[in-house]
Amino acid sequence: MSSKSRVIYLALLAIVVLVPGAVGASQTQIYDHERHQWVPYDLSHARDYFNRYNQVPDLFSRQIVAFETSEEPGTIIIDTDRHFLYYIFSHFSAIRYGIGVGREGFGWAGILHVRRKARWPKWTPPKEMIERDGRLAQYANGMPGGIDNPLGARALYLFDRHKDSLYRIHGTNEAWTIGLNLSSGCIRMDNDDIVDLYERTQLGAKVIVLMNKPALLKGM
Amino acid sequence: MRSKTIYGWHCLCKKGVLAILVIVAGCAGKEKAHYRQDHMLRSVYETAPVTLQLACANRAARRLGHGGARKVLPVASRRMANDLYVVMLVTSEGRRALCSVDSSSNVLSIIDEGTFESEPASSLKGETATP
Repeated sequence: MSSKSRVIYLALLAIVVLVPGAVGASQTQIYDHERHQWVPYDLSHARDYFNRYNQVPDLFSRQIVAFETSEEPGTIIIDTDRHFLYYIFSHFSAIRYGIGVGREGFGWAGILHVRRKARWPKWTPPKEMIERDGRLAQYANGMPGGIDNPLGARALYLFDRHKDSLYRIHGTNEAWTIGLNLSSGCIRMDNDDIVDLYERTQLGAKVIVLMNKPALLKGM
Repeated sequence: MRSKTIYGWHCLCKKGVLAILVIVAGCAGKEKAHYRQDHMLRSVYETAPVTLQLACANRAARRLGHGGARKVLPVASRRMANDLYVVMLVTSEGRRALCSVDSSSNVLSIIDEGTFESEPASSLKGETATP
């Protein structure tokens, strides 16, 4: 690398990695009518919105959007920062769904594949989750599928080659969490949306998970 | 009889107008609520849209692929100007690169340098999940 390129590289690297966000950092915001200002869309706002309108904001509802990409139709692309999942329809369009993602420290990025699909999946919390929350010990041998199961109506199991990554794209029994960073790394969707995605997704589908400054990388 | 008929028509007309007003009012009310919902939320982001990140990754994969890179993943990005973004990429071999791209997905430059390690996948198996 020439010295000029090295200088440009280091300058750009510093900007991308070191310079903090501008005013109103990268986030989804909701307008607070009492304070007359935009505030971060957090759990309390999400609950309040859902209770008031009985749905998540339109921003997170399923819709067809323009999406120019060279990825093959059937590929799933997850924009963790903006809380969107795209199912590539063609090289110019995608179906966009709202999602919930991992809380701070549980964010990840990577390239994985769907190797298994399940209807009303059984859920067994990992040892690490049981250690963090002792109440989950009762499900150490698995929780049957159903409306109380945190995996919801459907699950797509993400694998790194032939190894289970432990991450899933699944439904949820807490619909108001769409648009938030609350999970332990799994991708949550409204139950209607995961049923729709489940029907479209083929085994072997490529899943690209994108995140700005992820805590870890998978499938790389 | 005639006056009765006319009265009936008057009644029907009044009811019809009333019904139309109710429907219009209902639609207007819905429009207002919809407008309000749509404008209660906004996204404020300084990162590059995913289409631009992927454009960088695809271009870099073609370029760095000759060096053995199987996969290229965007791991950080930032807006430099209104229509210019910088995207940091990492390859499956741990090589790192920076890409500049404009808002029309035109990749302007790719500079690669350095390495960092990715975390190995967990070895747990079965029904386990981290929802």
